[in-house]
Amino acid sequence: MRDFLLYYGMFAIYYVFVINSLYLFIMMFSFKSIMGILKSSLYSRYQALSGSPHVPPISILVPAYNEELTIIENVRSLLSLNYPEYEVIVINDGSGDETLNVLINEFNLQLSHHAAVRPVLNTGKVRSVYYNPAYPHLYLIDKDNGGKADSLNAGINLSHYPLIASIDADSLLEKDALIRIARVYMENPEETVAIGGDIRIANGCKIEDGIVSEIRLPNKLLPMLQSIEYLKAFLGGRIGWSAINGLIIVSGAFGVFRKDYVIKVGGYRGGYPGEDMNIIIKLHKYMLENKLPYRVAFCPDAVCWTQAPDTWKILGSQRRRWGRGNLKNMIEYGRYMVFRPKYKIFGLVTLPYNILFETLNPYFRITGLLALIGYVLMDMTQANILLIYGALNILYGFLLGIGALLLEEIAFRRYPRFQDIVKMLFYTILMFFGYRQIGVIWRFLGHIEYMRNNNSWGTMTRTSWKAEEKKTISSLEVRG
Amino acid sequence: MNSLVPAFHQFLQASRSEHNSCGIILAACKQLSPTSVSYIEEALQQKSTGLHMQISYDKNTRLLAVYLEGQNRSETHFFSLQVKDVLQERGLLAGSLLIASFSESKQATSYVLQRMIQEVMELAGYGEIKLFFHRLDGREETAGSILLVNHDETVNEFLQIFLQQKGYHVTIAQDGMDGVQKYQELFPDLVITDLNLPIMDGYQLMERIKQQQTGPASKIVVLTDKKLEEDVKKSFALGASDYITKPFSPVELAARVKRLIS
Repeated sequence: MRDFLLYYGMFAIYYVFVINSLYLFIMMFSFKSIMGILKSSLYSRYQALSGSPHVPPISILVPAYNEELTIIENVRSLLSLNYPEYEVIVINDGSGDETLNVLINEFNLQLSHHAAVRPVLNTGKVRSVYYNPAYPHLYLIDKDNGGKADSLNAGINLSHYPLIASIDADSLLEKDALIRIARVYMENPEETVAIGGDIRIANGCKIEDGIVSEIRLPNKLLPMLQSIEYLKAFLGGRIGWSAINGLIIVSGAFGVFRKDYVIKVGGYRGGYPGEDMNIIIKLHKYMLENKLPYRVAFCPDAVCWTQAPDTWKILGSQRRRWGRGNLKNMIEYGRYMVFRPKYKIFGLVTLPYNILFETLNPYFRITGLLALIGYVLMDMTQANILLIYGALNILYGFLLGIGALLLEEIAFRRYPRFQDIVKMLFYTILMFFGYRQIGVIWRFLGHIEYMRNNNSWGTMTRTSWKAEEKKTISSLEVRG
Repeated sequence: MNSLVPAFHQFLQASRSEHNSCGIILAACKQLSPTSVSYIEEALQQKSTGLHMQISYDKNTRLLAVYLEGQNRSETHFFSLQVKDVLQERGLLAGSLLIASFSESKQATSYVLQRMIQEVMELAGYGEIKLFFHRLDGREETAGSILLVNHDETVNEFLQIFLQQKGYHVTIAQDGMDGVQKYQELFPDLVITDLNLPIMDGYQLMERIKQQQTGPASKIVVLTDKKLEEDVKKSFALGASDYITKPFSPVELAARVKRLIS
């Protein structure tokens, strides 16, 4: 027993060591490609591009469920993007509140009887389509509640352009975010199937007329921690993963896709959270199985500001949802693709990494810690192992945090004040005392939820967006 | 918008029926409380026997305006000495005074008042009384008023200075809604607008302008990033006189503007 505990404890230490080393390795790719990204965006003339007839038109899909407080501001902001040709399709997913009516009143929308909805993807029943010629680029779909994925599919059915952008209704795009992403697409329009944008936390920022006018770090604890977390994930992680074409997720809050391939892989999967990761896995699978050259790119300078949950309860439900979605995707696709040479980098690196270090992370962490504690309790002289474990964890995490901050400071400098940098550093450390551990537990709870649902109601459990309580944040708070 | 302008309109409406001339005195003051404003009003009322006048004070610009009914320039000038006395007595004067008088031939418009407000704020010195000449000859005559609707602050600042040097009176609006409001206040000779604007886009702005046109038409120039023929077509359909794409040459823009309002 004692030996087992010791070896398991050692294993946990190695596990932490390997996961962090790998992460560091991925981050090195981020550093390698950031300079290239920076230069190419520096030399790009976005202003000229944003009026150019050579830029591909994009359909922006905005699924909205109970968004009556913020939807007007968001749609107005989307209608004034710097982009030559695009349309905004808002999909009201059977909201229980006044989302539909505030939109109809604000934009004087009329029922449109001859809107061409092509049923290329199956969706919940579309009740009606609204349109006003005075806003020629705005469409509103009203449909029965069916979840976010279902809404996106309905949007695809109506969309007129070859590219689609999915955007959360509680997120704000920077004015040139779309043109920046389009430039990445235009570098290689044949092979680029999906491009992700950078998501940042808007809490604390000043927002006027749907435009982030003053960038500030959040004042509250939770949004601030998430701010750092997002910086690490997007700058440290996703740039690196995209450099080796192993990106497994394009955030649902802001991503651009080639419509033809999204349709070929059957559109978004409903019924489960994690549809954003699901669509990317399916795209990888389709392209690799058909031996088509492709890339899933990431564009760190296309920024989308989103509202972070600021209570433990809402954050917890979001993280449990993520855990559930991740597990579902791994069970549904991951295990059939992992370690198959056919799936190249994606099957040999991304998926093993994701399964071992993301999906199974809570089990290793929790049992490892228990083993160590058990061992120390049995034999007090070995308390230093526990300390090593803790110190290793923090040291590595801090290193990764610094790396992400460094990337931010080299490339973007969104938070120019010195005090902001100090604040970010402080929270990078603070993260390891409680927040990370709770995150692991949430993920674990998400897995439990998944198992429960599976046992009691079979595989197809409908989850409406009701779980996404963060949508209740009012526009007033946004300004606060 | 300066609060003096609506007060002035109110005054004009109340008095226009009987008289056809009026005097305006603008004085740069210190921060005034409502009580000191009413004190000034009382003091002036005592000095002006039987004269209809109105006082208003704008907190942001710290300007005190005195509107006088039926006064020509010399009468206004005389009264301005009393205004100066009252203000100096209490130590409320911060700069100089600017006076003007409008008769029937020279219409008092909010545009002229705006010019006066600008000028009095630029005046140096203390306690001096300057006459405002709203001549309708020379440079003032050829130059027109331009409303610039654009969201890019750098371009706005540059174009405002550039066009002002050419003698135009330039007003800036940051978004479409602001543009419509300022258009209704000023009725400028020419509107330069972007198509891509927050809250209300350039097309809607042009439509509103079209609806509201009663007198002589304001010319519209579209200045935008958009190079799509669809946008060009639609702009001209909505009544634009010219379509200029960015990056643009300011010299060319000025030349085109000059052609449209001369």
